[in-house]
Amino acid sequence: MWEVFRLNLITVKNYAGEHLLFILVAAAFIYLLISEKDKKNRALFVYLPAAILMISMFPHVRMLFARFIDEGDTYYRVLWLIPSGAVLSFAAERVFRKKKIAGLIIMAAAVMAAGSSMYGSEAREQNMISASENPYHLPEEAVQTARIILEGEEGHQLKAAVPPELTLYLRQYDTNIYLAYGREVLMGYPMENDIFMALNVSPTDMASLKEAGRAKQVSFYVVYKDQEFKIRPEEAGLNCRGETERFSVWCDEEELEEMRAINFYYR
Amino acid sequence: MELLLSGLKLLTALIILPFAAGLLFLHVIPGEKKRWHMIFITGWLIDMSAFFLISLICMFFIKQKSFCFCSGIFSVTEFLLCAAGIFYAVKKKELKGIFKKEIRTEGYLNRRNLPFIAVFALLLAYILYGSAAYDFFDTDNAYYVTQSLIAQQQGAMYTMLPYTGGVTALDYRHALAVLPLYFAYLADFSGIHATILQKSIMPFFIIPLYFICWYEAAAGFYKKEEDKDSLSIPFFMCMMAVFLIYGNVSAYTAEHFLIARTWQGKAVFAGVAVPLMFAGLLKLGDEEKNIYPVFLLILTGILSGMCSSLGTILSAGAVAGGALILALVKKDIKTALKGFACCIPQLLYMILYVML
Repeated sequence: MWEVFRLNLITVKNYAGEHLLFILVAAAFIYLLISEKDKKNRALFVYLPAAILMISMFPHVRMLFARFIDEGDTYYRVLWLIPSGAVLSFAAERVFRKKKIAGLIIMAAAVMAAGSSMYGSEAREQNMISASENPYHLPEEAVQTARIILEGEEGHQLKAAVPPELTLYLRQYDTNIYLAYGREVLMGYPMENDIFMALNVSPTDMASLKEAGRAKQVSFYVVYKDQEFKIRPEEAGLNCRGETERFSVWCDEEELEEMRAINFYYR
Repeated sequence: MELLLSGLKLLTALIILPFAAGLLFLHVIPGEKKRWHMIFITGWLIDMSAFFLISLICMFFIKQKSFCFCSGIFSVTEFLLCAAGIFYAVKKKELKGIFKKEIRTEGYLNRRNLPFIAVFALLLAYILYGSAAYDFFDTDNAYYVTQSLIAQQQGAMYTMLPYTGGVTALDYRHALAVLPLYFAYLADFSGIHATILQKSIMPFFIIPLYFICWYEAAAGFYKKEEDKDSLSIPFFMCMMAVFLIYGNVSAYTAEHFLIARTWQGKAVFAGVAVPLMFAGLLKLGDEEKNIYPVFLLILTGILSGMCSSLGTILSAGAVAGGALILALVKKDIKTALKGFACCIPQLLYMILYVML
């Protein structure tokens, strides 16, 4: 029981992060607790957030959540019901009612100092944010790779084995590209997937990869241009379909010919 | 030219048709001045509820190309609701009335307000520029965005694997969250690629909607304040914009989700459904005898269910809890009963979830 309670405290602490913004929110909350007179406003912006916070601290609530909703680390979403921005903004408006412009400048400066910007250096350091290169908001190289794979192949699906970093993006561009392995393998046990091991182990043996791929109806292979090869793609009988800055796209033409005709993929 | 046509179609499906559907409820929306934003939100929520029903029926009962049926049936439904709304407004001779200048702006734009409105507009422009100009790294997009694209390109509703492709059995429980399919419908109707629609265009709809919903909540908060002035709400909106930009104190906050993953169901829940719940509860707490708050809360509950299964339980908890606390504070049992009645859709959803 105490262990779960400790987990709840850690959840709240992680939610608030290492910045002081939620200290400001807590101060705003205390101010509203003291000064708010209107009953319905008190009910919804003082008592309700307090009740939500207290109830979410109960170990039993977390255990029910884990049992019925989600076992993973998503309990923090209960805290989304607490309107922290609104509490802070209502309190700020009341404190600075007589001097609104000065108040806005002071409070905005306080929030900027206590918070962390989505577009700031911290977000960049954590690699959360990058300039978007196309309207799909996907890495440009992933889009180029997908275009190379799909060139001339309209009207049917095709299966590709690609490096792990591309698996997240290709199917967001076009769902006619099936993948030999995707994010679910990367989140689980990639060592058990023979195509993953054949493609991502260095030096790469393209002939055995092609054999493993044919068993799974794979007709396209994307490899790094500077990857070390035991048997090179052209030696294994693959045809180069195109290249981007870091990747080269190879096609098993016979398998593709067969799959074009059948156009049915079992898993 | 094609781009312009797609844009017009998207505008029709996302703004014009829902606004016209909202006209059906002109006499339910409170206030002598029928404000455009509430007409739009009501109509949009009604369209979302209709989509929820139609998509579930198509998903469960149609085996092949279910999305094509869903898209067709929902288009017709949207047009029918739009026609009904316009017909109703014309019949009640209200149609000209909602276009009157005083009603549109509520005498809101004046010399004193202008600095705050200008600041808010700048902040909003900055947020929207950020959404357009930056990519946010998130691996969940490989699931949600791909599900939409699968619906648009393959016609399948949650019956294909998003990570690898190939057919799969319908996961009935998680299929209840149909928001990605709504985006697929918009993509299908307008001819825009689903990924481009969600990542480049939807933030321009969802983030202003977030501010509109909090504006409505603020209007409820300040309704009875004796010493409020016309600058209270603009000040509040500017503060909310600053808080949204600087709310990224951890990867768990609602503000982080709303900017980094605007198009995902969880973000729409945190950004649109939560403020609507507060707006509805504030209206419920008013003394006025009006059915609209119950209506708004029920529709918001259905939207929460569409966004994610988690959203259903959280919204039911918040609305029931909020109504109970309101009832205790005002010593009025009817408020609590009304609040509990608003949670009936969520209860039905949970029964369905458990049965499946």
